[in-house]
Amino acid sequence: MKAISVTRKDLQVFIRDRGAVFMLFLLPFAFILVLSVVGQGIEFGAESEDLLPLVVVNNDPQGEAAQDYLAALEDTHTIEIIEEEQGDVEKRLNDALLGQALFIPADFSADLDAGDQATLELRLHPQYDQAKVMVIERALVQASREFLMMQYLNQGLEQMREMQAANPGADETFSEERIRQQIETQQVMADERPLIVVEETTPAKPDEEELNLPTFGQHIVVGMAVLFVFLGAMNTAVSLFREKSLGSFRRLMAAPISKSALLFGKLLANFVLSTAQIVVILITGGFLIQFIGVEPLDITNDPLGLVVVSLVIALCATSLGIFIAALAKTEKQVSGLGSVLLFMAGLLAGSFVPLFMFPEGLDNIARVVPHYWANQAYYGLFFRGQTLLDIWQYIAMLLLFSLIFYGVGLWRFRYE
Amino acid sequence: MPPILEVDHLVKKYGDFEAVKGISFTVDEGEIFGLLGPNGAGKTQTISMLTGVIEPTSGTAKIGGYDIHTDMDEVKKINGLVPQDLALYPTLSARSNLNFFGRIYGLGGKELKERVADVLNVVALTERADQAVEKYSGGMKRRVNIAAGLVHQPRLLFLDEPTVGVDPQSRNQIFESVQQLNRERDMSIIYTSHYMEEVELLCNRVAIIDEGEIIALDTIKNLIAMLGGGVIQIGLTQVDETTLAELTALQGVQQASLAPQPTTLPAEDDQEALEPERKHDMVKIECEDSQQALVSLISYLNENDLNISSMEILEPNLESVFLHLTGKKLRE
Repeated sequence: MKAISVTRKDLQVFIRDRGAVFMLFLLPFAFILVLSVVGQGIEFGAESEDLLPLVVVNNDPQGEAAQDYLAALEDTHTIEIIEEEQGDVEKRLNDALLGQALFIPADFSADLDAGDQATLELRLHPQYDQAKVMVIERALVQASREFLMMQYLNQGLEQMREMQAANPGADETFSEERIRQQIETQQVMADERPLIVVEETTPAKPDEEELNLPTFGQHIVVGMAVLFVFLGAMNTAVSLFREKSLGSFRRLMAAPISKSALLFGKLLANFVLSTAQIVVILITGGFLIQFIGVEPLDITNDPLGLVVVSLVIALCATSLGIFIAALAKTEKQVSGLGSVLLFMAGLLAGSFVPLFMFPEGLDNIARVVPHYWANQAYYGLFFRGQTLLDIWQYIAMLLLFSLIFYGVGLWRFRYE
Repeated sequence: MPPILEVDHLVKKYGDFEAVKGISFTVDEGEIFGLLGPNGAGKTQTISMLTGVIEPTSGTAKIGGYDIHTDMDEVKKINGLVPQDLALYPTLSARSNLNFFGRIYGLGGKELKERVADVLNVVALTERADQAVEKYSGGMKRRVNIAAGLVHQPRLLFLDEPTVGVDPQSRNQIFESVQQLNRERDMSIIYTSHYMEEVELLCNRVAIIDEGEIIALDTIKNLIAMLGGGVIQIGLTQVDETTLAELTALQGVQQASLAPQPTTLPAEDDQEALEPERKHDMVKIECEDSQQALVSLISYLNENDLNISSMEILEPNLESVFLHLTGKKLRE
């Protein structure tokens, strides 16, 4: 109960601090509104001049269908195909020197010509960036549809030609209505019975139908949620510093309340604020931004996953606060250096610009900051159609960061 | 009645530095006890150990019969601390601050409401209780600071320099509150200050503390009596043992001795200071009667043609007691 009294008092202090209220709630709101409107024309993966390189092992080099499929893949304008030899690619994948490769089987064209299903293998390193996986998957789905549509149309036209040959007197064989019916039939077949299937070795394999690259506005909602919740760690740190500078910690340590209850009460207040901040940001991004003409974020994919991820992110941000308070020597260091570092961490982890637009290698550096794992968890829920079970590794990483921050914070924090 | 506080060889060390050097004293139930000493003497460190803010390096203390090592939870219920800092949340009102500190001591509901109203009355802030503390004057803030230490009705109240930065009117208000708490509620109070006037006004007994040690502990009357009829400090040239003996023999003089000299070494280029013989000596003359001693002293100096470089007459009070004991002024 005493810890709750500390929490209650901290919330009272927060409500009276207009600067902190602005920073926590209004600033992310403003960022989301402005950036999502400014970036409305940006569509990820559509017109990018920097094509994502995809290593392809074509074991059906003479096959006409394989050639056509690769051409369709290039026509998506998102992928740069780099054809390589099987042995070399296998070795690099095994040595973790390569993140992805597409394998076209030797009987790919023969199977399709015979009307059988052909299977492509997309082999992915478990640590390969999920955002890039999404780009590749989207391109493969797009290429498959276009390729198969052409295949079915050709087949349909061939059937009509044969019918015409069998009934040369029938005028209605090539009527406009007849052709339209034939195209629709082929369209239904393409959707119901895909002849090309892509198999992935990635453990968290999303459903192809739910693949959905975010708009810039949607990305910004996620990015700002993560950025500002972690910026809220400064509030935790500043609050702890002020207790020291005011001398109230000294008074509280002379009172019958344990240090752990005292610290828990303070952290609980900031946890509550961080959670409230996420709720406000997600309401903004999932609902309010549609009123300014920006496509809202679909936050309904996995409500349980959303709640768990949000609470874990809030916990991690709060723990980061005590970590900062323990390492900083002055309140100025917290508010000055702390904010710069947290903004940089957010930038590095893709809160402003998505990671799949980063140069190769830079995205790996982002893994050292908790923002990265928070962004990945939200991306999984919102854009990859993943559920709580699919993103457990991101949650585990955030919990690990929380544990380290809290442990080091408790160890190093001085109450006087 | 057993003492409310028994301190037994309490020590606080930081590495090689000994901030508190094994002090011992007792405080009786219902007593106002003064800890007088300059800044950095070890007063706050002593209070911090007795209130559970820091751990003693060695030694122990009992408060209300409870040991500070084994029964600190009970000790904390008996103690009230008014720290030197204004340990308040400035954006909250006085009432919100007091409600918070009351809850930390386990108070709630009607009892908390009544206690808060009571302490606001004690510090005369009922009218402005709902105003943010940051809008108060320095003196009003100090009074809320005291109220926060009273809300759980402690038996032993530690007041650590409670009048720092306070205007005279608020200072008097604080004195009245302290006396009222002691008189009407039988609250024992430990009052630390480097203002000897405050200690003289409020305290029954005083421990004079310097460099982590208690150098004198007695009633104010007895401490002042150490100086007899006062002290005259006089700067003279060429003082030797014969001069000191002759000064001691003068009418009204109890004892003449050389006062401690500053230990700071002179700069190397200060040739005057490097000369083997001192130009001036500070002689401390403890008097039986300072007026009579002054008359005979002037006559003696004229007769012997001794030059006076400085002279100060110290009235018998705690300031001169401290100077007498340490050779330093309280506010140095």
